[in-house]
Amino acid sequence: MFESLAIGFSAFGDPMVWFALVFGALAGYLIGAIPGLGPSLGVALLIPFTYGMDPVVSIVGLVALYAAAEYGGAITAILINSPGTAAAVATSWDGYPLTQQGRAGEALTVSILSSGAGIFVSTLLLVITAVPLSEFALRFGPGEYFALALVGLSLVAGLSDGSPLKGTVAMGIGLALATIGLDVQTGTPRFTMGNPEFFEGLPLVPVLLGLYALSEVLFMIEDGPSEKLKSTPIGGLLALPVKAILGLKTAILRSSVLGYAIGVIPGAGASIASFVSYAVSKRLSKTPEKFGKGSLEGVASSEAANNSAVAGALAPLLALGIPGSPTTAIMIGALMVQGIQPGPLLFTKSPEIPYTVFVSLWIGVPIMVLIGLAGARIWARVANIPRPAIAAIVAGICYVGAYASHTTMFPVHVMTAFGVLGYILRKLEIPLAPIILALVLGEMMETNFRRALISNKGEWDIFYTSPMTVILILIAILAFALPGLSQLRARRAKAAAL
Amino acid sequence: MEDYKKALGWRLRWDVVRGSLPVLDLIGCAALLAVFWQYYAQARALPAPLNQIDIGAGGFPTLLAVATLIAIVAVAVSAVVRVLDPVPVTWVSVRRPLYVLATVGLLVLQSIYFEQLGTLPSVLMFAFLTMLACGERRPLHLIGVPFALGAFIYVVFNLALAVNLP
Amino acid sequence: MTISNLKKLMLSVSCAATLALGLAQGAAAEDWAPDGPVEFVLHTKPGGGVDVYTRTLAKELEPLIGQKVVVVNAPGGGGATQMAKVRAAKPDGLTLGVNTVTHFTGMLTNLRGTFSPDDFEWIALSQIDPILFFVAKDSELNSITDLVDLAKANGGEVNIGGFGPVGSMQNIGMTMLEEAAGVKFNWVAFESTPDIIASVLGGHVDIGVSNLGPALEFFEADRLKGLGVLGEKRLGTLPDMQTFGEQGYDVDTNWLQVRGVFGPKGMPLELQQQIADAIHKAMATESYQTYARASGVEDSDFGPVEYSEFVKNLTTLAEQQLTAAGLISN
Repeated sequence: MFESLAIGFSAFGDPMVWFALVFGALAGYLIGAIPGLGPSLGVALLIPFTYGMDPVVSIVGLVALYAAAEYGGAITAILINSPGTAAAVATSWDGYPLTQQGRAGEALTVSILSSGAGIFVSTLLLVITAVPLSEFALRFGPGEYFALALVGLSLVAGLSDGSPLKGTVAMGIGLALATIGLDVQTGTPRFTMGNPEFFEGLPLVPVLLGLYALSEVLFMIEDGPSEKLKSTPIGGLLALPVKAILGLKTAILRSSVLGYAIGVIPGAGASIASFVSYAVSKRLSKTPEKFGKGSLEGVASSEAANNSAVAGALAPLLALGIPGSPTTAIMIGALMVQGIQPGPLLFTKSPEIPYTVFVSLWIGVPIMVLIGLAGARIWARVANIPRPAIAAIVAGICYVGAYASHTTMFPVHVMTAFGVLGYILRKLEIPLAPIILALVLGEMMETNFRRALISNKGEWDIFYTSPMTVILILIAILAFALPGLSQLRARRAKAAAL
Repeated sequence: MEDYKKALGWRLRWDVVRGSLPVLDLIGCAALLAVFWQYYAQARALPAPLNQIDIGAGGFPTLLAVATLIAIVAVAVSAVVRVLDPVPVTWVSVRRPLYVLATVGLLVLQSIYFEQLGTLPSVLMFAFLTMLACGERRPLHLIGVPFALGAFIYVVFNLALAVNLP
Repeated sequence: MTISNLKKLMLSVSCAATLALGLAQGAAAEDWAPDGPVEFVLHTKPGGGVDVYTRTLAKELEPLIGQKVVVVNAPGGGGATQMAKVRAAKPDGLTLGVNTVTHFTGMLTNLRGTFSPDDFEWIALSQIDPILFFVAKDSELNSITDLVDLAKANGGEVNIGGFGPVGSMQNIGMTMLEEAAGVKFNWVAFESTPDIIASVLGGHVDIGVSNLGPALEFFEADRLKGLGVLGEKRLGTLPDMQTFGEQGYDVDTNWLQVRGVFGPKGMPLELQQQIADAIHKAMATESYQTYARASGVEDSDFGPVEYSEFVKNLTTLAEQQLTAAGLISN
């Protein structure tokens, strides 16, 4: 293995590889920060530029862009409560409250450091476990995927504070939205109102932009030009980072491992990784009451996890040629243009590809962190821009970003509708997170539930004969029941006290 | 001006619209009930699967509709309980309602005319109007920000990413 | 001879063949010289197989025609967004679309009445890509005959995982085998080919269906075993895998996945021929050939006349199958 890693390091004798790494990281950082442009669109847009390049140079650039863009989503999530990707939604829960308390700089610093640490740790895991873990992930059948989706939903049900009933309704809305489009098994159009534009389902990014970013614009309009936020300046370049990392090391390490493990499973991915890690951190934290009100631990957990999921998603791609996420699926296209078809022989046939990816992830960490720390100083001032200007900028970029995501008007219409809906739902105190998560997980849940039954002669025993499925379903039931029970107990105690 | 955060009681004025959350909950529940009833009806109408062991296109949505309808009714019941309860209720206010409504109108207009107007003209125009709605009155800001935004969008989307924008 | 050697051989042979073909055609007719940038409208998002194909082709096409080629992604509506854009364009050759078999099955089912093959000109067929059935290496099945016997013994309890819902291109391929063999299989729908391969490797479905490209590496790595290919002749890269016909199952071998180029109705045949020639010439270039061989597709040289005929046959075949499956009624 060390010899092979040496191949990876030797690639960095070529200045073009360094250029690709730095350029990819910078481009990803900016693309991720623009609402509407996420890692997968970023990689797709960069592919045409890689055509004339050496395969190693292009894969280094693409991986750097992927990792940095997965981080970039955190910036808007923290500053203006507008996560650009589903994976950054959990970051906004604590990041935005921190901004409102004038601690935007601190939140940004913690987010970039946890992201860097996440990539570093998960790449280490990737080098050691890519092949065995990917083989293990093949054992995930439809029953296991269904159970995994249940776990994701149940954890979030426990997260939304406020009325659990409204959380349930929100989840119902999200699951209902996920059923729009052509049915995966039968091809029947469902709830499309006769409009072919709905055939492929609701596009996730415009829904996300509408619910969060556009509804936030309406809240800014309500606030008007008064009440300017003042953000406290960050201290010296190293003072805060060292302190922050030391205090958060357990949360970061745990979330990195969790994020990597979830990322390896094809079809799971960064958003589930960040939600689950956030939920686990909240449950195990010494100060769970701070979560959702500006906890640095929350920001660190979500960010470490969604960046570790990048390395996780690369594992089945490099080991087996099976993409672990939509972004890695697009990377297969980029490699194919170069005449490389990723598959189980990649490690033996062209070892320079996987090992250069490993090494570039490591070398990329300090570069990404430096860009991020420098950027945090600039971004933190966004909080000082007058509110009307922010409202106009957010709305303008959302419209262009939504259009660019499909280069048609359909996502723009979807985003606008969800902007108004999001505003009404927030006024009625219906939480948005269960809607988004249910929209992300809904199709995975239904498809795999039905696939499990169809491939098992319609017998239900597929859900209780596999140990992995049973364990996942038990976790889901516990996660659903625990918050309800503890709430009930608290109410009883209160009643007894009266 | 009154302190909106602590103010109570129904209001319907130019500077604030306010209502009690449980009553608004009931209105929201009524709307959601209508939507999910429609969803349920459509789900039931979906064709049965050709494959006997599949639960079909309508199976999961039907189940989901029933569960969500129950949850909506539960929210409505708890809202009724809260209305009847002597404990003070939560109040929801929308400040500057006319401007919020105007901005909603702007967003809708933008989503209709974005393609016809072209990216840059529509960004310039709507950024200007959005700032106006948000209460910005300084002329330099009103003109400078839209142009800066337009330039940023042109550089990033057209030049750097080569996206085909209208 | 090992597989990869053979692949190289195939590459050089087909390279030479297409090159000769391209040159011959180029000399015969006047070259396509559009007077502005050409738009290729796609029905998929950036990054997929169709996108990679078009962008590779576009890069080689640009120097040939002396104009920029712009790839426009217009996903949505199972191709409806793209087809609407193409149908509304002027038939001047500056707006073209890329199609697959999904366009034809779509126009017969969900988009019936909205679009029909007569709304467009079918200009050139570029790639053909037969589907094949495969199992995991340790499976007891070795041929289509084994599969049919198992289905007979089990009363149809054989799970076949493939791309798309009932009525999709690959599903129809399976029903055609069902008819020929007089058995029933159990279709399990997937939304991506890597998912199908993963499910076969993990033992969650018995049989997988796919085109050669995404599965190729798994055959070379000895993780998958081919049962048969739905095509007229065996695949050059996997010469040991028999066709359905060789194993005694009479299935229409025109049922192939395709990638072709189409345009709005009313384009002069002469212009269509020029466009087709330019496309086939671009396909002869080295970088296109490297890509095409790596992705396992075969080249086609069908121009507007042959392709329109091909589309007609394909649509008739699809209509029969979909009617037989009870998915559409006449």
